[in-house]
Amino acid sequence: MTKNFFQDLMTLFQTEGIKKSLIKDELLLKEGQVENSLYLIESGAVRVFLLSELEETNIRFGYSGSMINSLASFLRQSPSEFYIEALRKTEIIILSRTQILNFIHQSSAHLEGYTAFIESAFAQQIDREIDLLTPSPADRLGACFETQSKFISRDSAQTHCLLFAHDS
Amino acid sequence: MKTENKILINDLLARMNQATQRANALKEKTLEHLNHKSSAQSWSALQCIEHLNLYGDFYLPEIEKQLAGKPKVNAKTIFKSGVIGNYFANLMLPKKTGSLKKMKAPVDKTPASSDLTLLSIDRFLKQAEKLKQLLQQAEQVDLTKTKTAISLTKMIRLRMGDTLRFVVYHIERHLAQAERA
Repeated sequence: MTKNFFQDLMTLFQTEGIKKSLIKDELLLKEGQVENSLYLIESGAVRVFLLSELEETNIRFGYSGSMINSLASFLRQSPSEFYIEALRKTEIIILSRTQILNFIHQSSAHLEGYTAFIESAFAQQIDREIDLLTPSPADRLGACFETQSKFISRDSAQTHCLLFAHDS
Repeated sequence: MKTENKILINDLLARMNQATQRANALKEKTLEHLNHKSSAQSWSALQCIEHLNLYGDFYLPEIEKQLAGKPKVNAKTIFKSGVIGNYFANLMLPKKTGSLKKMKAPVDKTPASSDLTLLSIDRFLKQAEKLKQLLQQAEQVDLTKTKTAISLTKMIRLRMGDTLRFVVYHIERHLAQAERA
């Protein structure tokens, strides 16, 4: 079910999405803006981060093949807490919130696929909380790597987790 | 300088409100304009702002730490400037002729010349909000007896009132520089 959902979603990105090129450091979304899109990263990398008066804290990274946005803002239609920035030259495809919502409600199969996706995202968020609460930096790095390498390549997982370790 | 806490803090808050407006106005300019250097030695507007952020990184946590847990005093308490603190604070202000005394920034407070984005201004605005909160808190603290460390040397500590004046005047100084850049 989920497999078809993702295949159909990818097709939607390819057929109806808007392509955009970002240069290094270009901002895709700023704090305070309402997230109205879902981004598929075709090449390059982006980071989602929180800006405080003293530092930038990385929340999430997106690599080639990732789907990413400022999720809470997208779901609640509230101002985004986060910035999204291209880490290098990055090619993305954009679907609007309306396109996504239409797609989800197009068929019961899509709705089921979406539910399964949300459930897995929720469960991953709990893994994430545990990773972040692990007191030893070495264990935190190991846990992060183990979780991430299920989803992205080993090289990407390594970079991803080292960037987080660097932050802590 | 000798004045009531309330009068000093109101003056500094008014200056910070202006500073916020001025920084917001800078955001309207193009990135190219904000990164422009009029000579190899001079700073771009974004370098000026980033320089302020580097100072904020030191002073905001220090001010917060020293204000924390201090007994409350009446806002009419008199703040009396120290000799050195008063000198440093006034050094930041424009001269009577309107020109600024030229100074050289310490190496660790000199921001990299390239790769600066509008995020520097966003971070400055967050620091400005934090400073305004701290100023409000400071109104009910003895600004003469409370001391803070300074970024230049560990040898001396300044009176909180002078540090707050220095930080605010320093912001005004570099905002003016950023507007000219």
